[in-house]
Amino acid sequence: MNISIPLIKAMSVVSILILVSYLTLNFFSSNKNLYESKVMEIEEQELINILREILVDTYYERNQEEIKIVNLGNKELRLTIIPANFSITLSREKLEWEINFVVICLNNPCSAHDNDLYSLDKKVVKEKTSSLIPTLNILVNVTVINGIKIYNFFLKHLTTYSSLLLKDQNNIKIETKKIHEKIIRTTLDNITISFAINKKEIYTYPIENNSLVILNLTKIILILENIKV
Amino acid sequence: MKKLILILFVLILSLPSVNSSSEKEINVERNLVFNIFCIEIQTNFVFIERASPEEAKIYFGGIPYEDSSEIPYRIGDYSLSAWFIDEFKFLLWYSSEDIIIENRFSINTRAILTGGIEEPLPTVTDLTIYSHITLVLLKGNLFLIPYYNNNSIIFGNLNNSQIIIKNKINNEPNFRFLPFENIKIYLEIALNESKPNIRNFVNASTYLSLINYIFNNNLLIKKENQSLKNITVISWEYTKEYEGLVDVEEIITHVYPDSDYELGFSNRTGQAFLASYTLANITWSWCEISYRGYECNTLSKILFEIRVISIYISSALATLEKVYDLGDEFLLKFRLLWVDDLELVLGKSRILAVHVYEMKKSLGESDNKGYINFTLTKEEIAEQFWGISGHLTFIPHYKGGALLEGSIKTFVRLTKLSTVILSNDFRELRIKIIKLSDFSSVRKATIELIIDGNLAQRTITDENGEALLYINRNTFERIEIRVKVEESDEILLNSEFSDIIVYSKIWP
Repeated sequence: MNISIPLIKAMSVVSILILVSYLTLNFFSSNKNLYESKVMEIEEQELINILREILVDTYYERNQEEIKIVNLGNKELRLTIIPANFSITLSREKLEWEINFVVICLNNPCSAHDNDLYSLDKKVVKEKTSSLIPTLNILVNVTVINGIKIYNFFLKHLTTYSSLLLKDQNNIKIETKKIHEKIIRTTLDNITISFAINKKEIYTYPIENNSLVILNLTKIILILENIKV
Repeated sequence: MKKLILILFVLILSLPSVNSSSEKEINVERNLVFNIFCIEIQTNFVFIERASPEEAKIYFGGIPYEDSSEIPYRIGDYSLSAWFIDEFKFLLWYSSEDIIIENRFSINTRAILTGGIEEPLPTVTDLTIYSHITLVLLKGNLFLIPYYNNNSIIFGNLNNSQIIIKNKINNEPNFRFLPFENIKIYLEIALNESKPNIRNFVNASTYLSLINYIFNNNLLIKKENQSLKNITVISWEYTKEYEGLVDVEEIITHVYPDSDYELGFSNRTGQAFLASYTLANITWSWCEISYRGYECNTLSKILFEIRVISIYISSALATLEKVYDLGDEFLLKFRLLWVDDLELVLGKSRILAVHVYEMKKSLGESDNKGYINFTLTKEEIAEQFWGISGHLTFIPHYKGGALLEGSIKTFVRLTKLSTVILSNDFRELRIKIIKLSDFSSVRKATIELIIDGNLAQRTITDENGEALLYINRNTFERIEIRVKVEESDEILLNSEFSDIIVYSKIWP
């Protein structure tokens, strides 16, 4: 009996030590996995798809303001502004604006050609290698009320106020605001309305005499904000 | 089957829409109607009848026309005469206000047809306007010399009496009435008869009996206990006994109807006559001692008056005179016109209102001078009018909602205004204001140029609907134009097509 008591004690201590070390290792190991899962890289294409979906939504959502959070992971995200001149020419006047186009790039330098800056169909966000270009989108529909043709042009453009470069691990807050304006013109003669970017005509449309032209302008303001992990 | 569907489809497509800007062509005809009335006076009765073709004819421009004949109205100077059988005597001619008869009391005269309709009437349905020439004859070999006062032919020796037909609500006297118009007839009989010059009389008394009949040949309607019935005669009696022999100096008045019923005209439109027959009998009786001894005597004096009153029953229509833009609402000023000759409907204050079909509401109140005004807010117009141009339909009816039989629907054009930019170099801006209904220009439109929220210039458009505006700033965020037409002949709505943004610095 006297021999067995110290042995039991020693075995108890060893068992406790083994249990404590197991629990400690297990604890650190699981925390490590948890931490690693937080910074775990998602596929670049998957992130581009998410961002594109969010940007496309902003063109069609009716909400004036919207906020979404995206885990960027360890990517480098660059938001570059490309200024350009945009003009609408009716027969007797020319309306001009300076427009800030936005290019969003992942792990790549940003660039865009004039042809990439506009779209005439529902593909409002163009995608090039690891970059997204929200375009100036122009759509038209024609209705007739009381015998008068009404040409509805819907011009939507996503812009931002400042460039941005995000590195390391980030969550980004994507916020959008919308401003609408309606510019209406009455035409007495047959004319052609033309739209130009940097003086290069991108789209023309013939307008019959004694018609109404409604330019529905929508400015979507994109604000990207970094939320550090 | 396919052909049938195709035909039905084409037919449906060809149906005009409610707010269609292409309006149906409306025919407005103007006719001249000949009326021949004969008055027959019998003891205690007056007949007013129409003459048969065998009894009388009107010669107009040398052509004979019988009673109720209708011909197209043509402006000109025509000979006017009459033929009738020996039993009749000529009394006079009546005519509508657009016909001048040289001598109304001469059987052979001239009629001058003066006017046509100068402006097109904005009626919704076809319309025939009736002018009239009326010949009035006296039937029978009665030895009575008529005299004439206003619209009355008067026979008899009861001078200084009068009969006035008034609207029951506003108490306005008139000779022109609306179908089913509620009326009252005001009767005033002035008696001024001296007593017999008798002295030393005893047991004397003076007795007055008076009776009045209004003969109307089913022209009047009596409303009693919610039932309506045509009546040919209404009457009223009055008696009074005086102490002794007295001069009868009385003004006796009576108002038809009595309190237990209401009186109105029927819906028989056109020329008509009412006859009032008043018979007063004054009896003085006394006893006196004369050279023949004590004897009792009576002296009676009979006074009478037959008054034939010409009236005209016609319905009404409302045409727009002016629209005033008061900011949030429009003030619409309508003229109320008689349907038969398009003269102003006078003396009908508080009687009529205007029903707006599209809004299903009754608005306004007629005044005494033939006008009816009311306001429509721009918001309520916008609620039911979504198009670019169209019209609102109006019809007069009795205030309170009762239909006015024979009234004519008219419409008021309603169009949105539009601003056309003729030139713009962002220093000088030339614009033109047009109506979108037909793209015609709008003169005297008030234009406001607003730069960055501040009024920069106010001007009005010239004869061509054009205006020149000056942008006196080099930098600006927003340039706008506001348009308002203070006074017009139609409802001109400012909208997003007229109150435009010239420039907005929406980007960058």
